Amino acid sequence: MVTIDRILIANRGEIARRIAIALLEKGIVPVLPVTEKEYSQAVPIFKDCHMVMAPDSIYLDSTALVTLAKAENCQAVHPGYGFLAENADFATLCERSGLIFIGPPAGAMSLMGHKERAREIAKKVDVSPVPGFSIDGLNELEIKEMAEGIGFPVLVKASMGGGGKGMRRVENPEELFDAIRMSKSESAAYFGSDDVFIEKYILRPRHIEIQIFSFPGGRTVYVGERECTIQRRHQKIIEESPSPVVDWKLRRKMGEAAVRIADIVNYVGAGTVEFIVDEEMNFYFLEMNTRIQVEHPVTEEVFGVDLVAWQIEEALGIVEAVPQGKLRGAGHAIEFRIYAEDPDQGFMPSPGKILLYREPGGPGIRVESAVTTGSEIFADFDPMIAKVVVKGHSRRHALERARWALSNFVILGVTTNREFLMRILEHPAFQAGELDTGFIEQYRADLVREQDEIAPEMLLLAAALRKKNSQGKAQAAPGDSHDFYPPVNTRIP
Amino acid sequence: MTRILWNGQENELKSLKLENGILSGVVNGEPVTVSVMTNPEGRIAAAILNGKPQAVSAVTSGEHTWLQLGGQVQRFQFSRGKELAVGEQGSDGNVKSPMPGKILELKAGVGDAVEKDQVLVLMESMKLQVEIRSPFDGTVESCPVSVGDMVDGDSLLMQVNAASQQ
Repeated sequence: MVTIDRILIANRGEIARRIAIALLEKGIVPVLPVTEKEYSQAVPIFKDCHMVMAPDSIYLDSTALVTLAKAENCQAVHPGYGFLAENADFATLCERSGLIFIGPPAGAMSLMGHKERAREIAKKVDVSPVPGFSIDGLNELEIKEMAEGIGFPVLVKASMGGGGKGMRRVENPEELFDAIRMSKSESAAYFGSDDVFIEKYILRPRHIEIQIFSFPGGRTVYVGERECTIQRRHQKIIEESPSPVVDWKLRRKMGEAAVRIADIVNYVGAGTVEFIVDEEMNFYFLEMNTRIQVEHPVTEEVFGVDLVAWQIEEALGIVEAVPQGKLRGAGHAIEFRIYAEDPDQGFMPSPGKILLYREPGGPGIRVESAVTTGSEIFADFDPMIAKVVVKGHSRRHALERARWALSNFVILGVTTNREFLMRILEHPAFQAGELDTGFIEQYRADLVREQDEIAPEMLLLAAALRKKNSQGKAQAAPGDSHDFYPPVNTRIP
Repeated sequence: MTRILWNGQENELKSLKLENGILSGVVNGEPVTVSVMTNPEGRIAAAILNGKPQAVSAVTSGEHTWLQLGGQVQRFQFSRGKELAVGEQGSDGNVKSPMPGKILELKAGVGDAVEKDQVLVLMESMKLQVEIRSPFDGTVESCPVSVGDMVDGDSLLMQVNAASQQ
């Protein structure tokens, strides 16, 4: 057996930090490529990792990553999410170079990477995908008839797509072919393939996914569901587990369906099977994500497991299979994604320098991030700054903790969606768990701030705090988290 | 007197004072007081609003001060005495970048007649395309950027001269 003492993290930001912690807990050295412009701000965050200066293109350059891993004596590569995490060629290149790729086998990855093929696999194990068809080889008349057969509205989607790119909702047959043309051109530009397919648009859909983990020897378990219905432009914003509408019977049905899909492709490690759920609680297979997900912490909090540690242990050959019966969820967890964007200005991206950063703490609060005061949020990377994960004994309790955590998360200097998230949290429909993927569009007017007056008290406070700042006295860490409390040796009169 | 610009509105502040845990001042001619809690250095750490203590955080960069209180963030622009530029961004014809990013496309060139709200520049920031529009009808006077340039926030992208009024 090979000794594994160094693992390359082929990623950046909060997920790189998450993986680094899991590696450090096991005494493995995380090797981390860092771009020149991020290097100095990465030092305080990743000081316990072996950082290697790399060009801006590194995270998408499989050859350079493999060369780096070999040069740094790594035995394995963890791809995180995004970038090359679901690139079967990268996985193959790693294996050919004698590096363990921490993820499923390349074969399973490429089967699931093609959405049309993945649908066929789901059907094989009696899991219905959303009704739909590939337009490949069909003429216009056939396409139109088949679309009418499943019923409008329909969605035109890129076969290789993700993140909403190349996707169009079509209300009637007249708009169909324009949508197909646009989807094909976007798909060719983003994914290098103009394969598109058409599927039924489910009204008021929920997006609910099942976390699975395949232990060696084909022992796959499901680790509950995550409700990821609160989205904007197909990007998830809030995720929770359990779903407010999934009961134990539905959970078992969806979980077993997900396990069958994983098993038929000989899956290994962590994966997620995504479903669309309609108003009658029918669920349809959407796709399988063959990697760790952004929202994995909510599952970890509810089930008391460490999915990233399992991934690493699986690669090391030391993972202990957990039987399905031992996986019991307790309580309720919710994740909020903090983005550098301005929801009140049409979600305009807002990169820039964080002038003051203070994470909230307290019972049931977990923050995943890789920034600090002084960090620059660059315009050429993802706008996610941090994830706030709260855990309570019930959904209501988790919502209370979320209110505290979000209002005490201090991020000044760049505009974020933090207050927008708080407004979603306070919305009666969200509180009642009445969700569908159109939530943000439907309640837009309630969620956007239209403030035209400022409380005079705020002006006084700003002026008073500014005065202190300009005197430069005791300002080494403005608003430091210990501000409120006197230093340890101070006597309180 | 201090002028404080918030959300395009100008406010005047006079006689700012912190005494015995009471912060007071005159805002736009009206006296205002707030109960505050201070740390041993005399710095305000929390304010009591509607009977509830709420943590205060603030940071200053140049003319701007950011304040977070009770979960809400506000941004203020300060100036002592001098007039602040009140009004919409771009109303002087200087079309600026709202954030750092890359110039993807210039939809108008020097000498072109443009209409109000016509897209002048297409930028990319954080993988998103952002359209920058003309503040009014007029003519493009200058354009100091080129396609492919990386620009900072608040950089001049184009200057538009207003069409002469009839």
